[in-house]
Amino acid sequence: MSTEQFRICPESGLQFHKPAETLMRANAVLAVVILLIGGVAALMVTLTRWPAVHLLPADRFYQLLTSHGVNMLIFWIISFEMAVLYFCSSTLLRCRLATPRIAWLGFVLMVTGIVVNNLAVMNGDASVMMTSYVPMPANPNFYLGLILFAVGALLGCFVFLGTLVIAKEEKTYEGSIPLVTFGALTACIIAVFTIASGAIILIPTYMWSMGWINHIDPVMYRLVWWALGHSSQQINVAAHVSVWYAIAAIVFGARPLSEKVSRTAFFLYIAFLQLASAHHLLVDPGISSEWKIFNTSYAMYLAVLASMVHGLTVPGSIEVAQRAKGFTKGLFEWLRKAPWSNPVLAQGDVRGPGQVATVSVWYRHGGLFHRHDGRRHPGCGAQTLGHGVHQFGHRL
Amino acid sequence: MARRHWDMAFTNSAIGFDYPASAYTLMGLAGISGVAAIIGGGIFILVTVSSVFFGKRLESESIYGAVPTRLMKAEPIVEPAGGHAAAGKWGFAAPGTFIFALFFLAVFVIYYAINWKYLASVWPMS
Repeated sequence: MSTEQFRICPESGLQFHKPAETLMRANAVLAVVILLIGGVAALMVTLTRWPAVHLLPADRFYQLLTSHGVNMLIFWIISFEMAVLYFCSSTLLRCRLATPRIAWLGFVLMVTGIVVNNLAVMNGDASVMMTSYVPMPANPNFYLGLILFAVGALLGCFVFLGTLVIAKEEKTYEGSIPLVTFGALTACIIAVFTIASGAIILIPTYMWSMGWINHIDPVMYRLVWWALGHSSQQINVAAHVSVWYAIAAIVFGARPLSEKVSRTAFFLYIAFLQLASAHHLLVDPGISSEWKIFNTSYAMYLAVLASMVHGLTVPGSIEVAQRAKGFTKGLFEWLRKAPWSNPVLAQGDVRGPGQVATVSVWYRHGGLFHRHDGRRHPGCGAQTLGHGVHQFGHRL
Repeated sequence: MARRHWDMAFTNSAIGFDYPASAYTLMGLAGISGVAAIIGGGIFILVTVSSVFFGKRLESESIYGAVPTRLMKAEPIVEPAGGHAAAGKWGFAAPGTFIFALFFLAVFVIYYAINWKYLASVWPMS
């Protein structure tokens, strides 16, 4: 493998493959731009739902609600996800990224999809909200944009999986993949399911909007659509839980209490989290009670169990690491003496919005905006990571 | 409360519905909280983006051309004397986290009970 393409961040010790690093930057920047657009829409929506303000007229409200939903819950999350996947494969496994050109093709498709979809919404004839329930019609470009984005994101997932294959082939790591990469793999598997579900329902819906087919069954639409709408949030869940483990390792030098338990919990996400999409259909007619009850109770509880496991093991591993450093006074000295001035901790381990944590660890521990011309290195901020940095020297 | 509706007062609707006054208070609180959350998100974007473009310079630098090293298995965990349990309390390695878990469990039970109580009140079983 060519060494021309690698650099080692002197602050964090992380090893970056040049094409992967550029792609991480591009995807993360895209994600933050989308976050801004979705955030502005959120402000307008909030100021309208606040009864004393009630800012927007009805048509504008639904238009911005659509923009907010699609941008925040699909475009921002999945765009950032691509950056996380490239990081967790190429950087954490210290290998080259598979097929960077295909990754760029995926990126271009995603950007095109975002633009096409947003233009359709801005045009005012696609105010169908994120769910776009049929038979409510939208401008065909609304669906087309989502489909293009989905295809692009799917390419990104395959690049991630290909990179895992390269790392295995080239033996760039010992033993099994690290826990954080395992969590990213979970996110990737859920992403493939999510994106494929989106394509399965949105492609016929696009054809329907073009007049090529004349009927989409509303119950089928809602059932399959929620495999996209719900699961797209679960990509985020798996990714940000992975980032929690990363933050625990980076900031505290913590090691998982039990890798087996944590990995099993990730597996529970793969097996059960998607079934919980049924809870969006609880009051829908046309779907049997047995189906609703199975999916929204027994199956969903197993997914909830997984989150409770992570919720216990991440702070638990931090407490153990802190106690090992001597913060053993009382029950909570380990927490009081945590590095609260470090925004990575504040945003990640105090259960801030997961994606924010994701971005935070990104900006902080190097790579994204590290300029290697010696002028400015705002991204390679491992000084804020302190003693935990060496953990990357081993494994997460 | 209708989750997505533009107007909770249903002004000029063919079929009207009046929410109690407390619903307006709660939606007012939701509005204030929402704006606070959005300001937080805005500050986050501002800080990260301005750090990238105007952030304090780090002195270290790296260039491409490095030889990547292999990711090795972690060293065995170094335990404090007497094991992790000795650093904890009551035989627990992470007693503080356990207390948190119990607290959250209690909150969960309370919310669950309240939810079912409210549900039962609108869903008579007789």
